[in-house]
Amino acid sequence: MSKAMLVDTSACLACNACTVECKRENGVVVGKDIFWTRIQTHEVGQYPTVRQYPLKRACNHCTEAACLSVCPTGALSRHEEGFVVLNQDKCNGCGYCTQACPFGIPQLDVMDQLSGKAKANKCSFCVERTSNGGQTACAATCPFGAITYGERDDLLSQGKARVAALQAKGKSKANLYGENQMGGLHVLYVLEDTPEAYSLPSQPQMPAGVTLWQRITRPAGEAVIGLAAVGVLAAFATARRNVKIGEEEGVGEHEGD
Amino acid sequence: MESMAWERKAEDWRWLAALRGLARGFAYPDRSWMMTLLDGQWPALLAEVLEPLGVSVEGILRAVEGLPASEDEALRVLQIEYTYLFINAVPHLPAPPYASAYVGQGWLMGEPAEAAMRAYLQAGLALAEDYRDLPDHLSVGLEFLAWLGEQAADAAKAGDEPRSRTILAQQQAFLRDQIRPWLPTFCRRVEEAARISFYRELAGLAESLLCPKPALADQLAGGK
Amino acid sequence: MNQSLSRRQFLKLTGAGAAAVLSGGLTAFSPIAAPAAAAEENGSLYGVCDLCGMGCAFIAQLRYGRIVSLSGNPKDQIAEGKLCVKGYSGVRQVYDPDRLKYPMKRTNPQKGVGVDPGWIKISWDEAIGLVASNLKQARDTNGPQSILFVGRPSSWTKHFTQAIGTPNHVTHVNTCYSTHDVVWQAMVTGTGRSWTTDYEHSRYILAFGWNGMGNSKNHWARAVGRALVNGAKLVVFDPRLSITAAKADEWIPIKPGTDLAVLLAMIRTIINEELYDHDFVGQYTAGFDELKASVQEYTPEWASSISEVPADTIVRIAREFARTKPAVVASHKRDAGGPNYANSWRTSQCFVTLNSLVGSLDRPGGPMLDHKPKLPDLPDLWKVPKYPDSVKGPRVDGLEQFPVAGASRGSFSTLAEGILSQKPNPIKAAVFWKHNVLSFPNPPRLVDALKTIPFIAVSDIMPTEIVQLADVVLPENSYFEGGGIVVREYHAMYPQVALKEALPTLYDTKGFVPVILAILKKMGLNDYVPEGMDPGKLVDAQIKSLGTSAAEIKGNGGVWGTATEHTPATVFGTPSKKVELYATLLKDKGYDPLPRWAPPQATVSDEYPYHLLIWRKAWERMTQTSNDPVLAEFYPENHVTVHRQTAAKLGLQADGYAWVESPSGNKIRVKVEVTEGIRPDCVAVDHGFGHWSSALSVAYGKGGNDGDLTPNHTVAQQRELGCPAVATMWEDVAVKVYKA
Repeated sequence: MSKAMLVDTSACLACNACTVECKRENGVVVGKDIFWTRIQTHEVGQYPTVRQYPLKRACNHCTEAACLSVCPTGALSRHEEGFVVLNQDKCNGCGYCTQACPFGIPQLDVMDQLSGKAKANKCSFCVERTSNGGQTACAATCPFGAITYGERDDLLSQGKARVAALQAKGKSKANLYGENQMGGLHVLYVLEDTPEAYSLPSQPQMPAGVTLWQRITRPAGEAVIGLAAVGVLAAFATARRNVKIGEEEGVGEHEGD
Repeated sequence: MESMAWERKAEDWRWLAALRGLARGFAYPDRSWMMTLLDGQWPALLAEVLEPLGVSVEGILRAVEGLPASEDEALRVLQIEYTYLFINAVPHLPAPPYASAYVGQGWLMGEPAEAAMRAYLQAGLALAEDYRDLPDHLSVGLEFLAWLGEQAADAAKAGDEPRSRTILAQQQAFLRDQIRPWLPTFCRRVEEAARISFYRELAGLAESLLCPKPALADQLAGGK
Repeated sequence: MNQSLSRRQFLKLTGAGAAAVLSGGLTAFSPIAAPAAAAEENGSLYGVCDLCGMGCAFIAQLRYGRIVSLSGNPKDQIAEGKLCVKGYSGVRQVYDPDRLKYPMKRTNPQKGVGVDPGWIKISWDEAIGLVASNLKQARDTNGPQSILFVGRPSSWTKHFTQAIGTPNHVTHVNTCYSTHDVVWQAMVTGTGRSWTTDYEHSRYILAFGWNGMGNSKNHWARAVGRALVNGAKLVVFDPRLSITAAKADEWIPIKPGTDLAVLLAMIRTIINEELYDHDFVGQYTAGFDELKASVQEYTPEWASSISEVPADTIVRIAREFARTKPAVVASHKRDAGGPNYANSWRTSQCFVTLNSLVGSLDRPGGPMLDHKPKLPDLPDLWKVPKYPDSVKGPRVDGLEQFPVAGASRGSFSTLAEGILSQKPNPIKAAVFWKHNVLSFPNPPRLVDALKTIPFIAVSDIMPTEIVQLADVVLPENSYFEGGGIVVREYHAMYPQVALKEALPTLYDTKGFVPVILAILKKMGLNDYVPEGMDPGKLVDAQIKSLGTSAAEIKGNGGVWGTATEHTPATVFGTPSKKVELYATLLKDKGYDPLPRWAPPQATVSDEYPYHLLIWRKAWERMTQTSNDPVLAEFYPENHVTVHRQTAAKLGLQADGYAWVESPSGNKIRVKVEVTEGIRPDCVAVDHGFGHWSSALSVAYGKGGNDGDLTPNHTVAQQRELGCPAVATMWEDVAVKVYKA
């Protein structure tokens, strides 16, 4: 049994209903531009042959989750249904997850500049609702059925069928994103164009420094928080350069569109 | 100046009477209340109950003395200032007097309002039919604290110590969870925005009574 | 000077006595019989959203009386179980700290932008007394025609203005859909336009500037989505790549204001190639021969030279449209046929003409006549004296000079000059309800005009710009705080009403109707407020007339109505009882009865090189959403959207700032967005920003107001422009843009 979400970008109208309802449902802090899901619109082509592709951006709940690998406190954990839950009570605000995620998703809420108190923020598949048989707030909210919550296998089939329908309509580059990336994402995307058109990496990678860290430093547990070992630091710094940290790069992106 | 154990203070009739006064102060000023300001009765009583608690009333007395002599004018000045600080204002509403504005996501009727409702219901109180405002309004919270203290005192007088303790615990929990988290921020806002001194002084009094400075709190705790 | 305090005389008060005096006898509480915690814990309410005209029915989840979430009512034919981004955000509107809570009056006589009114809270008695006495004084001294009312047209507001005797009931309709209203009145219904369109069953959807998928008109967006999944084709003509255009099979970047040319050529193609629905045209339309003769000069080549759409594209689309059944020209309000250009009314004529030529009018897949229950109205319940003749007198907005515009019920375009000119009468008192200065073209001019009115009362929910100019502020219930029923209208395939259960008012707000009835009485116009006249009674009568009760509707999931089979209309509300392709009403009133070419008013020039386009993000609904902290968090300010070439030419950077200036005399400073999805000769500004009312603490100072760029008009100018619907002509403007 493994839960997932299917995001059909062909049905998405970039309205941001999911953005606001996620925020309300999860009591996310207001005023710091922290959202557990967003819509970003990507533009491809040249006038007058232009395509606009909205993409719901949130945690993809990777099967091989980089964030999970680097979390020193166990604030991030794997739910039995396969998604990655963030328990903010256990989070020490170290920010490693924000640096490790190949999609640049987790955001740090710095609550106090002086003390450095901070908490990571990311989607946890509305774990309280979904653990009680409910669906995620975004799936319940989307007015156009662009977000579906359910069994991953079912959603894989649905997604593939939708891709086939789009291809039949002439969208030859339509594809399903997330089947195998990072061991398989628990958020699948029906794309009408290549992943690059959506600023998605077609082959996202676990950052090199993370693997190193796992083997050497993670077993040492919380004591590593200080990251005193220079060697690890150097390796990690190298890996960081290859990782998109919160920033989006791409052609003509429109935040909030 | 007496210093009082915090525990004793919480059921001290002077402290409770002062809270009642502050509750009135943070509600919209009307003519009959304002008369008690101008004729000195309200300020004098406030002084009477606050001075033994070691709280200075000089500021508020001066603020009242600074009000216009004419009833109409004094009322107008207070009402305009109240509207400006707490209801609607240009440039911006400086100090919405609701816990929800400061705790949580920032719009009203948030979890603090719900917590207040639950506390009132648990204590056997509902908001009156003609009450036309939100549950987590400062004035209501202050009145609730006073009422609980009075109930505790009545219980103690009737010889029911355990009940008195329980009610006092409710009062302290409400103060700790529903008032203290936001009162200092609220008071800062009032101080910054106030154009006459009355509400600035009132806010200062509220803070003195409800959010003791750490040193004083330790001193008080030591007296337990 | 206060007497010095003599504390000695008060020493005797202790304990309860002291507390009583200190409390001033004030209490917020009353005891309850038993702690009723469980009963209050979870609740729900049925309601109807008011953030746009769709009126989606919703269910509110409550905890201890506070709304924690909203969801669409699954039984509502409009909501289909979902709301939109605005609707879901409604919970933050009702709980906005900046909301108007109590009646207030100003204590600072000076009025202006950024000027503190010095509000003071007053009682409802005083508020109503002030409004009544000022209206009465204006009426007695200068006649009822010196009173202005700006607000939605409803039976109650019409009753209010007519009882007072003023002709000056000015509505917003000519900023919104007056062109469609006049055209439908003349061609189809004899009254106004209907709203329902059966997109779901359409196989070919043609849009000229229609952006229902990008405006959160979610019922239609879903319906179009379903149609597309079922193989329908969507073609969008729009100078800008809107959301709807982005979802379309074809986006055709037409030159703004020239949709009319393409439509005329399409009509010609369809007629000449005999592609029209002969049955429908033969049985249900009048004036086909005249239409045919009239469009011969509108060749595709001619249309192409005007619109910059290739001639073969025009012909191809026309053929596809006519051959794919059913087909519909999509339309709502601010599409190309809406009051955006001087020629928009003619464009709207073409919409109706095309839908008639292909026989989809009131047929599956096409625009439908709304199915609404016939409900009792005011005159059915209460008899009042005849309204004074003065209600038929000349109006401050000059609307009586436009013979068909009765359908449009008001002109925001000409109001400011009407007030300033003091013609036909000076305005001495005004009441504004639910409309703001920023909804007018050239708002600064309106502010000048409003400053000449000695008394202004405003009823609203938020402290907007008009509220800052008010003498008396009447705080209104939010849409959660009033009860009643709402007839399904924007999508009414069968008669249905939705129930509104009132959330107890948070503060001391009131519904507008009880307030205006109280004002009438206080003015001494008691004859117009007979015993028992009350909006609640009308609602009761309406529910009763449906053969049900509020309790029954509630038990039925918050709605009443059963899906019924649609019977296509065979008789229409025109003099001929047919769809009048040759509109005799227009002819009678001195307008072209047939769709004829006329250019838009504005042309670009060296000084003003860009066409202005105005649009709205899916989450914006003017002031109703401007102050929302979450919406403002992910979209803090609006933009001027320009083509990459324009940016290069003007040295603009994405996320830099630019001034947009128009012949209106105003300019706005907005953030720049660079895109491939717009014609290089156009710039677009999205609406909902530029608030100067700082009392709106979230909205204040963000972005710029698009409407500042649209000039207002005198009556003479509007007559010159020749639009029977007195359209505001929002986008019929050329602007200049330069780096800020």
